[in-house]
Amino acid sequence: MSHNVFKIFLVALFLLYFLGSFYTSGTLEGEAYPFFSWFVFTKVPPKFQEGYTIRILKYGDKQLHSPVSFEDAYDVYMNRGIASPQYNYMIRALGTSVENKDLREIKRHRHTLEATFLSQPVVYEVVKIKFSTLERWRTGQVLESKSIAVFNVPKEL
Amino acid sequence: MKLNQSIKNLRALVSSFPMITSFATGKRSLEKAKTITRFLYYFLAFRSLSILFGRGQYASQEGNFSPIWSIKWAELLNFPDVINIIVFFFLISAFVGALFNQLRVGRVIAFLGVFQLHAFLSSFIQVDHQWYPWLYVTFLLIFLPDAPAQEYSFEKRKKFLLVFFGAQAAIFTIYSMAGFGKTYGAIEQFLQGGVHAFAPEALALHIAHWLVANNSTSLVGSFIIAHPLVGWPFFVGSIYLLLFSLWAVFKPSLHRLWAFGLLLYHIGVYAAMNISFLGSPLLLLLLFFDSPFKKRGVKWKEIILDLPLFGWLLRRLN
Repeated sequence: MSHNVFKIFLVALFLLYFLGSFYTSGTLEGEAYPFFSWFVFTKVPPKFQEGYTIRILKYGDKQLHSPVSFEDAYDVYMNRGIASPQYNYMIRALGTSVENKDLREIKRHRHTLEATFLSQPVVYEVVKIKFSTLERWRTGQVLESKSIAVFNVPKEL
Repeated sequence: MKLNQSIKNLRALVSSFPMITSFATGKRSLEKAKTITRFLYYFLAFRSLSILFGRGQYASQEGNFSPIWSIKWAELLNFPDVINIIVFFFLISAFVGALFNQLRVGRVIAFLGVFQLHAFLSSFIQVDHQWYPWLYVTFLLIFLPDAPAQEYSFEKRKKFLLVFFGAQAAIFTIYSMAGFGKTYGAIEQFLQGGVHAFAPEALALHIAHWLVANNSTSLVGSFIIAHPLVGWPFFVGSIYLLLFSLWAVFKPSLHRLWAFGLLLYHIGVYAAMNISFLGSPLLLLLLFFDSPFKKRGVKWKEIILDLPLFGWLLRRLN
């Protein structure tokens, strides 16, 4: 390949990467390997926002006195080999699919999440929350919470 | 006539851009580029040892393993066997790259090792972003010309330096895309009337949200949340640094300064948000700290005039 032809090849490669990355940034996953847009932290979280979390209601055969939130459950009931950001991704995906009533996606995300509970059985709820970004960091409190689904994970998956 | 002229203009533009020819005339730039390339592969070999020594960590992840398209063969095998194949293939391929990087076949094998390792790491819930820079660089380096024993001809020197420049451009492109995303998001949020990336409280909100979502703390996160104005210039400055990275790759006088700035950015992100990204720092150091395209005795005036926005303004004022 001559020097100038290779230059054009390089430019074409970069253009392909730009186009592929921008296009796949709009998909559900936000990327398609090996294309990645690198659009991370593009939006500043609003001062007040909505999100999802999970709460453990029953673990093993034990009904818990009060639901255990994900942040506390992570230390006890879940696979710490999986990083928090990955859990948040799973929980967000599950919450979104519950709200969209997408049964296929609910099943898929449930399977991913439930495989990470350290042992079965578990009863947990998906909770939609509203909170002040800074206040939640300061005190851990949310403004509103609403259970949108309860899932029962039997002894054997 | 107009079409012919356009083609002529395009050819002239392609020929002159970037100005590799002048660097290929002497041997200094080529020797530097060759040395850096060798060390890139030496590092891969080193990295393969850490992957080997840490292979036990993957055993507990079987429940979340869902092979992506580039590693579909893994569905046919037991998970422990997949781990061993990936780890040992990466080990062997990385050492082949370290020993035979002057040959294309060696570089292809090294790339395949990175490709499969990255595919494996990306098959657990989310794609692994840390290895992307190495995937792109080892892919581009495949196109280096071979000249194992004899001296490089002038054409091969140009080709070598052009491929090397392509690897540099790939790394800075990643950063520019990140900067573009943040800038676009800022404009969008500004037009929607909400808080945006150029607002004083932007970094504080990012930090608070991230630390809660990940149940973690950071070195300076609390301080910045309490004093958002302290973090404001750093956040705006980081967007400038990211966005104009692709500009900087065409300005060799900026290579070291820009790479240093991006390394500081990674340190800052870790200090503020407890996020570590080891994917590109070594590439920043190797590819840019002693860039083959950097002229000897560059003056600060040239560096400042090459800066995006500030340099453009100063040139106009002069």
